[in-house]
Amino acid sequence: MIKYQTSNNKQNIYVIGLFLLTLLFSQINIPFISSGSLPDYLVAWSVGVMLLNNKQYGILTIFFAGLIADILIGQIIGQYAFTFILTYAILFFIQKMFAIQSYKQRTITGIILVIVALLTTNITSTTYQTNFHETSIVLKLITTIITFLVYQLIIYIKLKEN
Amino acid sequence: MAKKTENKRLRLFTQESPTFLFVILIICSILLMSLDHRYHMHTHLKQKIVLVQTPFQWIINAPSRLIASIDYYLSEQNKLQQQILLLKTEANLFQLNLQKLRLLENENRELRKVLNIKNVIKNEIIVGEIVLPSHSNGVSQILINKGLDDGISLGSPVMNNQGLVGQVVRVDKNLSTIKNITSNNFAISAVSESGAISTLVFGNGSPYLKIYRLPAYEKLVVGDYLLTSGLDQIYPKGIKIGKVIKIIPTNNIQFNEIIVQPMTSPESFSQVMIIKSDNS
Repeated sequence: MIKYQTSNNKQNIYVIGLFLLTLLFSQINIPFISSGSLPDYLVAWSVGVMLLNNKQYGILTIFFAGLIADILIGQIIGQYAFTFILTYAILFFIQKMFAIQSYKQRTITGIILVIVALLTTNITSTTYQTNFHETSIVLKLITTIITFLVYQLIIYIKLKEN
Repeated sequence: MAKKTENKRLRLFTQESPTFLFVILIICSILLMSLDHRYHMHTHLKQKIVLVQTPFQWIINAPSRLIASIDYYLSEQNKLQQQILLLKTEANLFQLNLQKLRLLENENRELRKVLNIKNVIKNEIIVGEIVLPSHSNGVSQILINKGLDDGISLGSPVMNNQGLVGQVVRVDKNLSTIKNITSNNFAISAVSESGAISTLVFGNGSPYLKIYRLPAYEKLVVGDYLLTSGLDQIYPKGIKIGKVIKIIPTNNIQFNEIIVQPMTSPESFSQVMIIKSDNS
């Protein structure tokens, strides 16, 4: 049985603020790092928020967040929305099958979801090529997982405070 | 009784299950992607949003620009002096070449008069400044400060003083996006300097360009320059694309794979020239 939690206004503002920051991060061009290896901040954010198991960040919220991201920084409308819904659905079924309670279990689930979400984003991308650079995609995967871990840590610490 | 309740909890399609909503939203997303792919709704929306988005992009990238500026200013003095000396020598050589070119230009003009040939290509050049080297889903792009208002059209070729840079792939009111020649599946019709070899050069997302299958009998050597052929009717003839740096034999002995180093990279310049095509 999935145990959903409720959030207060402070937490809502915090999650929305983090989403806006994520949108800004996505526009950063870091020198000396290949653009293909930069993390997908939105995927990291969405998985972090999904793992909160909060009633207010349900499927519709995630879907609309994906649509906003698509319009502002995306490549095609519906790409992130599709990725987020698919990831959410997978998380829902994982939680139905397994009892995920500890922080470690949530982290491992999150990493699996990040991989799924990244693959979905790549496949639905209009610039997707079958002969993509393996090194670049692996680096992107690693950087996105690291970003997700940072996000999760921030969310976990901040929500514990609240 | 307790077993029955437990079974009900484990079932996926209980009353509380949002499976129906999942399916509906996934269909919605796919529908949106299909509609956008067909009607380019995102491009129209983006053109309206770009005015709000650009200042944020500028602010968020300010630190990296600042770091780059500081790095530039802290370069060693000796290095700079050496560069000045080198540049002076180059400038002298260019002056010499310029004189030769002027002579050739006059000669060419006279010959054209004699042969009664009109200049077929009359291209206007617009100089644009790079706002930022950007990226979209892993594809490197360059944003410049010229757009529809300056007469830039979609597909216009872009170059700088070193060679070919890429092609305009999106035009907004005051901004344009350029796809780099090194981008995946970017193809350019090229000829060797001597004009004897005509081939297609491809970008593959790496910093280098490639000729996948060049007949082994073609006499292309390391150090040869490749120029645009003009056959594609997009890029004017004679723009430098890159220099051959490696010739790799393939499994098929009749063909070689050629690695070409492009003349330009987005980090090496701040201004570009957009060639305004006649039909724009």
